[in-house]
Amino acid sequence: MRNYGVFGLLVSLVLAPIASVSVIGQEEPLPAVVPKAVPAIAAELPPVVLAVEPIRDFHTPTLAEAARSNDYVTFDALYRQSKERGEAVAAYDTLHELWSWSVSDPIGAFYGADIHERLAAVYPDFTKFIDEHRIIDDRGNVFYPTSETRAFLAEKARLGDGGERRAERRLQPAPAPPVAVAEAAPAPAEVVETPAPAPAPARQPAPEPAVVAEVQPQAAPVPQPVVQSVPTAVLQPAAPLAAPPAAVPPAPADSILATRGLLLLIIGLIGIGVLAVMLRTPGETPQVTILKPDAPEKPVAPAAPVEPLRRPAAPAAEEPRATGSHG
Amino acid sequence: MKKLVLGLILLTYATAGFAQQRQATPELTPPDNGEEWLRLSSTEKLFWAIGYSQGYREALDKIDVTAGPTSPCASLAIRTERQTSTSGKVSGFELVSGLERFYSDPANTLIPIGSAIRIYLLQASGKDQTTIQELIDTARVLGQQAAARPRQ
Repeated sequence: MRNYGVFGLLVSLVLAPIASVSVIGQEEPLPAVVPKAVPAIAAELPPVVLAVEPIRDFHTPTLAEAARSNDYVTFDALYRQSKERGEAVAAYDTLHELWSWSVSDPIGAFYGADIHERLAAVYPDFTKFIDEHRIIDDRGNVFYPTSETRAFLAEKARLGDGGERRAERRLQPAPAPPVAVAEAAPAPAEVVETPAPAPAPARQPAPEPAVVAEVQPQAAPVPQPVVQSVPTAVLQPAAPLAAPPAAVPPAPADSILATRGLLLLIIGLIGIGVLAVMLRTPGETPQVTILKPDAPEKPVAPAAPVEPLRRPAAPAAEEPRATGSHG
Repeated sequence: MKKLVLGLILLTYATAGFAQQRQATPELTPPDNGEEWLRLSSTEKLFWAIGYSQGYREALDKIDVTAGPTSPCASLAIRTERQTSTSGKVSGFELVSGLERFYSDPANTLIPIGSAIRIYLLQASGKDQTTIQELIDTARVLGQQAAARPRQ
């Protein structure tokens, strides 16, 4: 009996550790998996910085920057990505549409009246701006440039998009206060909307057919009331809208300058001549000899008679003078 | 001494007069590459392109082959004219649009205008894109070298 007890005790002592340790392996709970944060490559500084390869701060350009730098590829890519992300890029819709059309059309640098009317309906001050750049060909067809229109739309979009405007202020110096377009009426309390005039169709019969391409200068500007919903100003890059169409005649100033220059030139030439005369060396004066013809020899007059020398009469003997020493 | 000083003063006036006349003369140069092209207004671009097309067309018309109609020179001239004939047929509007499209890529802004026009004409004539891209890459390198060179 005792043997059975000892035997059982031994078995339990042997089996207990075996049972606690499985043959296959310990099934410990796996450690919690913590995803490792992989930093963006651009955010990390390279381990080695060389002077020949300076680190430049790179930032993704904005839509306004891409438009301003005339980079269609970047602008199109940014626009599409922003659209997919659902960002507010409605202000750039018109610009993107026009720019895409101009890139795909064989004569996309210019457009006709159809696009002009659509833009004029959206932007009341567009007609006044683009009329300075329109081109009328010899058949009277009016064309408007896409480049200047893109600048106009980019500026409108930049002002319309508040977020990008704040971001751009950090990159640019303090912007000038918006200058009202050259209009007679100051900001009126009442907004009166009048339909934008359409000068293009009215002027079409006028052009000279002999000219291949003619640029019509803007006529007398019709002051349009300011529509407060859209800022009117700021169309600076393409054309100076604030400048009056009638240019200051430059002729008088130029003619005065030309006359003054001519006068100074004449005085200078006179001075050079005077200087040359003053500085000439005396030896340079030519020696002029006048040769006289041989004159007949005059007879030589006889010399005047010369009296011979005569001894003057000897004076009377004189008494010897008394001398003191020889006596 | 007084006469000398007076003469020097008059000479100085003459020099100033010459200098003033020189400043009044305007200096206008045609655009050299895309950077200068993009600074022009659309009207200036159009008139420049019209002048370029007309000049190219007149130069083509003046090519006379005196060797004879059946000589190799005649056939060569005909073939060359056929290849480049699009230059004379491209209107000012098309040329401006083509250059605007070409220079809308900032990498091409340093390419000289002459090279840009040749590339545009080859594209318009249907040349394969591989050749076009090689030409563009070469033109970019040449344009960068030209831009780095001091302008005379």
